[in-house]
Amino acid sequence: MNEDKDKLNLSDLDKINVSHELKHKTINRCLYNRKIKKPILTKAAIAFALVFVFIFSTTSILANKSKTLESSSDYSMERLKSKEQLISMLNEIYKDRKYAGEDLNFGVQMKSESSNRSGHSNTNVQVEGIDEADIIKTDGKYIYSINQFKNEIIVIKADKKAEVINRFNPKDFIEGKEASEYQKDYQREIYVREMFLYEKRSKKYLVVMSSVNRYKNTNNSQGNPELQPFTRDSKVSIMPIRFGIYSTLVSIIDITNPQYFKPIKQFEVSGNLMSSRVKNNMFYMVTNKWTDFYFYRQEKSDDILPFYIEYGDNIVKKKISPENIMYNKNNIDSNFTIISEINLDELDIFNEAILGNFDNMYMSKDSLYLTSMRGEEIKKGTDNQSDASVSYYKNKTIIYKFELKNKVNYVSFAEADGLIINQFSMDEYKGYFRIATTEDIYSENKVNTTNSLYVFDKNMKLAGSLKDIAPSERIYSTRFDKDKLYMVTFKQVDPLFVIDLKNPKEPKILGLLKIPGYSTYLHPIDSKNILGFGMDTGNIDERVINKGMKIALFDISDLSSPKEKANIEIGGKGTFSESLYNHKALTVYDNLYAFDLFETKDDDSYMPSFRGLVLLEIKDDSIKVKCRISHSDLTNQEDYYTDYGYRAVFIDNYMYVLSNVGISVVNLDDMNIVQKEKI
Amino acid sequence: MADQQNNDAKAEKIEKLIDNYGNDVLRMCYVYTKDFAAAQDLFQEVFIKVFKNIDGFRGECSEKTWIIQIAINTCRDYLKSSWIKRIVSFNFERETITNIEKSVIENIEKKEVINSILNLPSKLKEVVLLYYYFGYNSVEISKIIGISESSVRSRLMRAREYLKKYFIEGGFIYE
Repeated sequence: MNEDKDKLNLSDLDKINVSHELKHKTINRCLYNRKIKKPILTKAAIAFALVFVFIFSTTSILANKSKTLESSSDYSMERLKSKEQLISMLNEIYKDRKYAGEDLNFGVQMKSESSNRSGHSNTNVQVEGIDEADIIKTDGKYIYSINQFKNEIIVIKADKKAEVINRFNPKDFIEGKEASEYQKDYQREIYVREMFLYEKRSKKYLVVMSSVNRYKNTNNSQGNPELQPFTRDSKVSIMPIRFGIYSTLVSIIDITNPQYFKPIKQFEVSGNLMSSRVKNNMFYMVTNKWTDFYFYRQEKSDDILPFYIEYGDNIVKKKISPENIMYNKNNIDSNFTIISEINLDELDIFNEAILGNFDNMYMSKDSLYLTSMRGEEIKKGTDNQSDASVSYYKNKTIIYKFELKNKVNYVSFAEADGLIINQFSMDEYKGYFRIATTEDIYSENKVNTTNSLYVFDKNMKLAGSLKDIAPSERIYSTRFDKDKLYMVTFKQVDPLFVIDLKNPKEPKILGLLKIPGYSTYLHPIDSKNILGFGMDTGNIDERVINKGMKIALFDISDLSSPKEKANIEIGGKGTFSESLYNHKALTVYDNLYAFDLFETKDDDSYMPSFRGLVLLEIKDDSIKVKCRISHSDLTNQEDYYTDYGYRAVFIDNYMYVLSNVGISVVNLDDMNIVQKEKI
Repeated sequence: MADQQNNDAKAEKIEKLIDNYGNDVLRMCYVYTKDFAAAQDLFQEVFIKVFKNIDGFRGECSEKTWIIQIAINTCRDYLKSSWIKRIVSFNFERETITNIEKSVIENIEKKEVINSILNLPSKLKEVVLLYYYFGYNSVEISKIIGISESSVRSRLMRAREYLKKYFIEGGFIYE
């Protein structure tokens, strides 16, 4: 990655310099006027306009697209008949527009949990029985950990010594193996991403996903970068862009003998990994691939269709045929979303693709849902350059439902007003699909928000809805729990809502609690308690700002009046934990909760005070910090920024804490560190 | 009198900091906000914070990294607060911009590369700036902005995708 640093030349920024006046003004304010003065409100307004523009331009382009539709609300899916059809459709969308907006989701993939009292901890997943990929897995005897810093998988024996017994990278298994198309001239880079552990009777596999990038080396990298042509295969110097071919490698590795791993099967599928799941013996993976249509037209190259590669005695590269590509004529985007399914017993693969841009995925035991964002024009805007034309677009989430039969089958679609935050915005229960959205409503030069809940039946027909929840606030987290929904919205104080979904046709709000701060992840403990991970907030004059991290325990035994039973606040401004946006970074073991932490001092200084892992215990309605583990002493002291990526797993009475630099073993009886070592 | 001396010493200290890191901070604030007046305002806030806390700075990381971190967090607070508050009012007093500055900024914004960066979503903007302009590596960035190294890498990757589309297809989300 380092070699392309010089390719994006931002040296024009050098022309921006601090003026004399600004310097002296600042010095004066430092000395005499430390209080942040008035223009606070005004700043909010400036930044607001910025955000505004971003949304507006995205929606307007999306809306442009929908202008050409005959019917604006038919998002049903059809299958392609031929490659020619695909090309003519892409030509159509490239004809009169630039590029249609990419995701504007500001949540990242999240997960959830399920605790396992005996034996060992498991990945915190959203749906019980559906596994989600992670960077650390354990079977109770060994710990498998992806070290992204070293780009390898480390296998550790789960005893008090925590010995490293094996390390490898899946690329070792395909060293020297390459599809014939790519044998000449191409370089291949492989980065380990996430994995599953699959056990069935005597079988024990690690299913590892890695990102693959292939590119051609250009010889004249010394030449004038501005003059280089755009070609797909070369690294183009004008930009940091590597016009490579991106794909995702799936390696199924037999790990029954922990010292000697052997690959059973490897597949490679076009596109960057979006999300994956394992249910019983079925592995599902969704990737996104840009169509490269520009290059297709430029170079008349033949590979517009997404491909997959099967590594075996022969290496076979195949295209996903047009018959296995679906599209909706009103929602075409220059992107393929590819759904791959691998039967982990039969070791075969089936791929299908959708022409469109999907950004979130939810999977229940029976169905898989993909969502796509759309902007629809409601009324013609004026050409007034100012803010006015913003008012006339509406954001929608289009949901596609697939059933998990022998093959993933498209069932139907539905649409909901507004946008979602992550996979926890969606849920399926007793055949009903539920989704919670936040909608921005534009009018004149105002934007307001409203939040809604929609319930769809098994054919994706609207069964019921609840609208105008917490107007002018925004959803920060949601958690569905059978016939209930917990939702946190935020403006300045954080209301926790409890919503009753017993009657899908008539969801209703049961209770509401307002507390300062907000939660970005909700973890139901039992029918009486729910735990919220989020931030504490404070005000500077009119502005709302984040303070430290806040973990709160809510009592929901009386649904009509939820209460905050206990909370702890950690650190000051700048404090951060991956668990705030990635549910898999939280490990749950009985009543113990472990998560990574980058803590700063509780003042305005942003000065780091701790980095490592924190273990909490929830007991008798209180939250207690049981221990903090750091590996910063294992790093080179001069090299300040080096330990990160803390994760924990629990086996019997021990907690194993891994980071990119070390491993520690903690005895849960007395919280003593029995082992600590570099890895 | 003693007070005056004390203040002189402090002024010297802050002046040195601004001389050393001021330009970088101002550039960063500008890229974040796309608004030079707002950037000047944020610039002052950053150095007020730096000045307030400089005595407690123990050199756990380089001075520059520490200041950049404060600048990022200040910019983020600023964007976040407005996002949440959704106040619309276009009457505000702003820092003034001189004509020279105005023409510098206008010139810069004409440059395609700069323009493409300014129009990235702010999550991607910050990694691009830290990586390509300030020259930090992905491990350092992960610590500065508090995300995992793999997220840094994937944001860089996404940023490249965005830029790729921008350059090839002549403009993306922003026209």
